Amino acid sequence: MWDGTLSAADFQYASKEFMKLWNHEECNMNQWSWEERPESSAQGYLILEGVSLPEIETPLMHESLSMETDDKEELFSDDATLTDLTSQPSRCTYHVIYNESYNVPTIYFRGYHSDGSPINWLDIHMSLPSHLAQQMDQNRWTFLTQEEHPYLHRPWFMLHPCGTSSIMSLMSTERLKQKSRGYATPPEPRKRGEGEDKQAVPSRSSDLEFDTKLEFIPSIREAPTNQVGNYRDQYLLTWLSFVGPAVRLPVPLDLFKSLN
Amino acid sequence: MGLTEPSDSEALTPSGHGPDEASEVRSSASSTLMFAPWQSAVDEGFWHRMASFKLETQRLDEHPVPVSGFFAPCSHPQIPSHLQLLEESLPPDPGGSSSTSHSAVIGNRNKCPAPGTLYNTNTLESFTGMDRPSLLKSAALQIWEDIHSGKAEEDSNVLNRFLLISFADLKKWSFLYWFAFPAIVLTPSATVSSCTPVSMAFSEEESTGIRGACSEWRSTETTASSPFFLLHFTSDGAVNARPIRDWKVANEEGGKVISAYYDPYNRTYPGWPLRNFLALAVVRWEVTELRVLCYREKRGFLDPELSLVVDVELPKIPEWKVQGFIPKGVGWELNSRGKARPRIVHLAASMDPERAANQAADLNLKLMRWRLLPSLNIPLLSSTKCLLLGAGTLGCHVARNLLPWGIRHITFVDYGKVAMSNPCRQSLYNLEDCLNGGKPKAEAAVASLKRIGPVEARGLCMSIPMPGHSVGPAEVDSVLADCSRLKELVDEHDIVFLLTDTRESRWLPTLLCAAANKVAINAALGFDSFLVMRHGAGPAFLEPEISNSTEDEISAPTYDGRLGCYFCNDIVAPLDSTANRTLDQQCTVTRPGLAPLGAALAVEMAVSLLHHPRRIFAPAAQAVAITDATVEALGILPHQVRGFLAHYTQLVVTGAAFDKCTACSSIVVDEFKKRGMEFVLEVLNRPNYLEDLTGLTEMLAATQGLTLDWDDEDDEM
Repeated sequence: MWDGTLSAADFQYASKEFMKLWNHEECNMNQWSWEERPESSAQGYLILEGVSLPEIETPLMHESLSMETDDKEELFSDDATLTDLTSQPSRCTYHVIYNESYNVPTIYFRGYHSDGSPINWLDIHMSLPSHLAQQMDQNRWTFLTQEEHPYLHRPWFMLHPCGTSSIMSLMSTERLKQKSRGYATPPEPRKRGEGEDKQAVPSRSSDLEFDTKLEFIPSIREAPTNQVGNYRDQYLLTWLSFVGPAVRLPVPLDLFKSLN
Repeated sequence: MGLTEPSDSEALTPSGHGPDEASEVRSSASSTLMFAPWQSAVDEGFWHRMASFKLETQRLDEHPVPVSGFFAPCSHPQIPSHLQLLEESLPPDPGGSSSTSHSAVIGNRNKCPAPGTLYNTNTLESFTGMDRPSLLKSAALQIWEDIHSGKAEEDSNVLNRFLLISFADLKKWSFLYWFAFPAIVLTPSATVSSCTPVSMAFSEEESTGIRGACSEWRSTETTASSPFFLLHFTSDGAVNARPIRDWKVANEEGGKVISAYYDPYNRTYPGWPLRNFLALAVVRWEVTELRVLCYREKRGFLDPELSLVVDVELPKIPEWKVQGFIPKGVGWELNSRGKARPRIVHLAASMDPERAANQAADLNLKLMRWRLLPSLNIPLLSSTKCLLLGAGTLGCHVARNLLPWGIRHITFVDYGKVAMSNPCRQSLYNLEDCLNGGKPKAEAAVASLKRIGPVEARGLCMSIPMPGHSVGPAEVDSVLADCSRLKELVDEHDIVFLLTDTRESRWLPTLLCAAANKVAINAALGFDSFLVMRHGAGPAFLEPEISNSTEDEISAPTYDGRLGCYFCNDIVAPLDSTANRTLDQQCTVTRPGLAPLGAALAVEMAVSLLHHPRRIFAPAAQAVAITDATVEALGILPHQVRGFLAHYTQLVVTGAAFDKCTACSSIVVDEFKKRGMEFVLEVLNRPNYLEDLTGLTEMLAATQGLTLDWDDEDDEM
C-alpha cells in the first residue's frame, strides 16, 4: 500500500502542480513562489509571503526603555506627511520544504507583529481554547515545534512531519474508497473520546486516530498506479487542508472544486 | 486630493492635516499633496547577521556601514509593501557560508535595493545621544546633491536613500533601532489637482498600453529594480517605458510623457518615494505640472484599480537656485504606536543559543510524550530541583541522565577534588580538571554540565558530617554550619540523591529527608552488584487525601506500608531474603559498567516517582513477569532494585520501614526535631548514642563493621 510519502522528485512535481492550481485561482491570496536550492534533493522549496493574520493581536510593545527625546516634530512629519496610517495586521511567511528523513513536505513558518516583533507561536498555540489546544496537542499533524530552518539556519516554527505520511496514506485510502465503492473494505479507525469538539480541522477524517494500525487499513496496493499518481498532483493541497488551520494559513475552498 | 474608490473610504478618516472634506470625487480645487511614509520591516535574519557582523567584523567600530534595504511595489490591497532589511542587507560574512545568495538580489523585481547607512552604536547612551537632526540633514543633502549631479537620473534608487541607527544589546538579544527615510521638503508644498485609479484615468486602449509597458519594465532584468521610470505615449499610439534620464529626449520626440514609480503604499495616497522624485522634477526638469502613475501590482502585473494617477502641481522655489542652498529634510520614522521613539525588538527566544538548546532538548521529550507517554509531565520535570550528594562516579552519571529527562535544576555537593584516577570513570571530568592539584569536584561538575547544555547547576564544596567521625572542639562551629547548610539544601530541593561513597555519610541526609519528608533516592555500588532504592516517607507524615485517586489498574501487587530507608533495609530487610550488607563496602572497586547502570536506574526511578500520583507515599510495586504488560506509562514503581552483574540479573525488592531504624524511625526523627543540631553533634561524637537511643546494640556492631576498607581519599566526601 502507498505509505503516504513522496520522493524528492515527486515533491518538486507536486509543488509545481500546486502552484499552478493556487496561483491561478482568482482568490485574494498571495502567490506561492519556488525558491531554487540546487543543493537540496528537491531542488528547492515553496514560499508564501506576506499573509496577513488579522486575528493575531500585536501585544503592547515592550517599552522597557522610556527614551525621552526632545526631537522637534518637523523631523518626523510636515504638512505633506500622512500621519493617520491605518494599523497594519501581523504578517506571516510560510515555507514548504521537503523533509528527507520523513519523505514528506514540512511546513515552516514565521510571523511578525505590526511592530516588527516576531510572533511567538508557542504562546499562541498555548492560548487556544482548551478543546482546540488539546486537539492540536493530540493530532500528529499539528505538533508544533521550533526547529532550525534547513536552509536559513535560524529557528523557525514548524509542524513536526511525523504524522504526515500516515494521514496522507489514510486520505488516499478514503478517497479510493469513495471512488470505487466496494473496492476496499472500510477502515475502522479508533475514535477518540466522545463529545470531542471537531472544529479545529476541516475534514471529518481528521477525527480519526491511527497510531499504529495503518497496516490494517485496507490496502491500495492493488490500486492502479495512476490513482496514486493523481494523489501526487493533489498531495500538497490535501495536506495543507490539514495543517493550514493549525498555522493560520487559510486554504481557499474553491481550490478543491477545481480538483474534481 | 481626490479619491474614487468607495471601498477605500476608511483610508481617509479625517486627520489633522488631511484634506478630509476632499473625500468626494476628484476635487478640482488644489490641495496639499500628502504622502504615506515608508514602513520599515526588519527580518530576523538581519538581526542574526548583525549580531555576527558586530562581533566578528565591526567590533567596537562605530563608523557608518552601508546597508541595502529592499522593497517591491505594493501587491495587496490590504497590506502596503515595506522597506525590508534582510540578512543580505549587510555585507556578507567574509569567511562564513551565507545562507542566501547575494547575486540573486540583482535584477530581482521584488527586491529593489534602497541604499542605506547604518550607524550601530556601542552603548545605549551613544544611541540616545545621536544627533538625529543633523544625520537627517546630511542624508537629505546627499540626495540633493545626487539630484543636482544627475546621478539620481542614472540610478534612481538613490532617491530612496535611508538611515538606520541602532544599538544591539547582544547580552539580552534585544535591538533598539530607528529608521529615517529622508525626504526633501518642498516649500510651499506640492498640490494635487486629481488623484484617480488608473482604470479611470485612461482609456481602455491606453490602459492596455500602459500595462504592457510596465510589464516589460518590470520583467527586463536591467530595469526591473529601477523604481522610477517614464511612460512615453508616442504620437502613433504606442506606450513605452523609459528610464528617467530620457525625460528631455522623450519630450522632444513628441507625444506625452508621464512619470511612474514603484509605489509601496496601498491606499489612495502616493507613497513616500514620490517626494524626492518631485524634488528632482523641480530641480532638473523645472516643470510645474507633473502626471505621475503610482505603480502597484496584482499577480505580477499593473493593478488598474489599486494603482493611482496623480496630477501634481509643483511650486516654483527661487531659493533652490541659490548656490549652496541646503534643503530641509523630514522623515524619521515614528514607532508602531505613532510616537517619536525608537523601536525595539527582543529576539532572545530565537537567538539565544541557550534557549535554542533548551528547546531542542525538550523536543525529544515532547516527541516521547506525544508518541508513547501522553502523561509525561515536562513542566514538572523542568521545575524539579535535584540535590546530588556526591559528584563522583555515581554523581556524574546521575547528572548526565537527569539532563535528557528535562531536569533543569541540579545542585552538587562534594568535598573532593578531581584526581588523576577520576576522569575515566567519572564522566563529567577530564584530564584538565586534574591539573594543579585538581579542581573542586562540585565546581568542575557544574562547569562540565553547563558545557553540555542549558541547566541551572550549582556546586557546593562542603563535607557531610558523619557519625563515628568525632568532632573536635575547634571544628564544632564549622561542622554545625555544614549541618545547617545541608538542612537548607534538603529543604530547598525536591529530590535528594544519595551518591556518596561511604555509608556513614548517608546517615545525616537520610535523617534530614525523613524529617522533611523529601524524596531520597539512594544508589550504592559493590564490586559487581548495586542497590538503587527510594526511601519511604518520613515517619510523622500522613498522606494527604488524593481526590478522585485514580483507582487505575496497576500491573503489580504492591506493599502499602511505610517503606524503609537505606539504614532500615540494610539491617533487617524484612521482606528481602537477599539482603546483602556488604554491597557498598568496596565502593570504587567496582566493575565499570555498574555505576552507569545504577545511576541510570536511580534517575528512572526518580522520574517514575515524580509521575506517580502518590509521590513519596507511592506503594512499592512487586516484580512482574516480563511477559506481563505494565499498565502505568513508565512501568511499575518498585522500592528497591538490586542488580547482580555477575549473573546479569536484577531483583525488585521491598523493605518496610524499621521502627528502630537509626536514621528514619520516629524515635530518631523526633529527637532531631526536638534538639536539632545539638542532637546531630551528639550522634557524631558519641558512638553509642544512636544505639542507646534506639536500643540497638547489634546495630552499632553492624555500623562499625561497615566503616572498614574505605577507598582512597580521592573519592571521599
